[in-house]
Amino acid sequence: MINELVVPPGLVMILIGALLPFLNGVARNSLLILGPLVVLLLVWSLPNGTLLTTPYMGFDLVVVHVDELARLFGVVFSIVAAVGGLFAFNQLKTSELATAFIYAGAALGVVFAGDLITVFVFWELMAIASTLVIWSGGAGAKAAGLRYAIIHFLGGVLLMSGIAGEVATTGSTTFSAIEANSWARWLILAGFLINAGAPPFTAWLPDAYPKASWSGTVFLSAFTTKTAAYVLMRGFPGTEVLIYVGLFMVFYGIVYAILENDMRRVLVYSIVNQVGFMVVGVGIGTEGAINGAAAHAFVHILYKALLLMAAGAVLYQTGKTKGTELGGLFKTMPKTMICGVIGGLAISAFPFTSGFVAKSLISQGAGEAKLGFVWFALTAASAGAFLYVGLKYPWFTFFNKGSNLSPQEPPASMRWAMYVLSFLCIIIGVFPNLLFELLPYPVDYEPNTAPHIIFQLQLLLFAGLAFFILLPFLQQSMTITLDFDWFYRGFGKAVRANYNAATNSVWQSIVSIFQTVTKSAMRLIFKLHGPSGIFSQSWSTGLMAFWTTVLLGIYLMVYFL
Amino acid sequence: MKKQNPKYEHWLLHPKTIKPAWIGYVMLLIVTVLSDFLVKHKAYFEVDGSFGFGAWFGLCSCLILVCLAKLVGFCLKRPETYYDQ
Repeated sequence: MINELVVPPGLVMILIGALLPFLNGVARNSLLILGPLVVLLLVWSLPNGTLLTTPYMGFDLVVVHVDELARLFGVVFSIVAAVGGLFAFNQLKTSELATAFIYAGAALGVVFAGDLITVFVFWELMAIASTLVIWSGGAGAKAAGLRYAIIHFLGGVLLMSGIAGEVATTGSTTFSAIEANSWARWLILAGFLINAGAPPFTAWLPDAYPKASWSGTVFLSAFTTKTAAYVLMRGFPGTEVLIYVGLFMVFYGIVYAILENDMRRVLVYSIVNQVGFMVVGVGIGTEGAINGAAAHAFVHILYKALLLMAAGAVLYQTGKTKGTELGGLFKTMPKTMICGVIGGLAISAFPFTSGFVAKSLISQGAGEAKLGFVWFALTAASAGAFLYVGLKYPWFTFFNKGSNLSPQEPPASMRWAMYVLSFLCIIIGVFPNLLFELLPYPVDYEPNTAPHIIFQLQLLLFAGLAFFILLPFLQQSMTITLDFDWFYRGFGKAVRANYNAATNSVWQSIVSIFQTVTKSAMRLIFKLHGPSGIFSQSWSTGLMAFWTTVLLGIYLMVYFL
Repeated sequence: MKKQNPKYEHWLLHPKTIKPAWIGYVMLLIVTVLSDFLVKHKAYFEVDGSFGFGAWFGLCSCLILVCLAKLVGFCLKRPETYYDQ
């Protein structure tokens, strides 16, 4: 069935991206913001159900399938594309924006896909387009972009193998909730998890995203990991292993972010931490937990974009991102500082911010499922998140003494993009029903109650006390922390360096033994055949006759014996 | 870029501000803990509804997490030029 009236939102976004390189100035910037808003209206106007299918090689591809979960992600992807477009008005590289919009369109394509083949096609388009966004970051991004592409194509291969196995065993390409009970489904799950930043392939995030430009990282933070969270919610709700994978991600993100010096990398580590919360929610799998994971994805996209915009604005104005080089910027960039702090409070789930209402839903899911260990771990992680993002990021960027920088506020377009997202972070926190009404299942929960707010304030303010007590131990150093990517970045070099050293010493020993042997052989030959050597002298006839007689005598004796 | 006197110090960074700021913060901490007398927490596992649970749990979690991070850093920290060499 092909319904000609239905326009796939992803395709519209991709066409906007393809159109961008042909436009300049006001026309380009107008399309950057109006294009995604048109897509937002389109997403909003689509009714629930399977709306567009097309036959392909014997399969019926479901190009547009809409339900509450898909609409939620469609809405937030369109919003972040519009605000990201506004933020990027001053980006001179239109190629970056074109690929970013194609990337956003591909993410929308995955969100509205009703079958696994369509998911795969848009999944790979996302990988290609996002690699191009990273490469737009300049020469420094080349190697990291390549590593990013390799990991994502590995994920694509796993996903394709899984889909092929699924089709071979069940004959179906339908994309709906399945159990991980066959090798094919485990491969699909592994393909999804690589994009979520799950272990062991977590390092692609902090390796690649901070190499993108000040505007590129905003787009990158929104789509890949959250599309992965979306497909996990749709495909694998209630898969228990995801609880443990998610918890690992939650604590990995905190520990690495505490150690990190580069502020944009701190924020990228926090993506792993936050997606970990979503993955735990998917693993719990109850309606409440899936609601929590979906709500968390929605608000996370907004506040993470806000935080990366604040960090991007600092990068744009100063060219610096490291904690050791920044500090004291609140004096000359107070508006950016306020937006960064709002983002930091939202990600820390501070009361009356968007993060508070969303994280509460996941914790409530863990509590109601009586998963004590998960509940306490997530609560500890909420406190940790305040320590490393809510406090560390603004502290080392805007407050800490140390830099003599006095940059001005960023251009108006960048400021307004941050204002819009700050507004959304607060309005969702104050009126959570605005978000709850979009969730896939009905919500019977009021987060803004006095006991809950007091509990959260205790948790976060005492986390703040820990931060200020431990501040001398948290001073930044010009270091990186090794990660799993060492196996494909450092291991080869280490082997090569040690291989050279090892082979050198073996080779030197062989050479010296050979030299010693040949030298002694030469000395012996010289001794025997040299000018005074025994073999170079002429012998007397009598001596020769004597030795011949001796030899013949020996021969006779041997013969008779 | 705005020109600023290098000796100029923002009031927020002034040493005289630090002490009152600490006193204010500690007062705030005390108020949040004492507020537990006024409300009844919904507890999933008993202990999470006890008096001042959020306070000590938040503080201890962060102390443990920073120690864990320091331990990981001790093993895995390298100069930032590590991969460029």
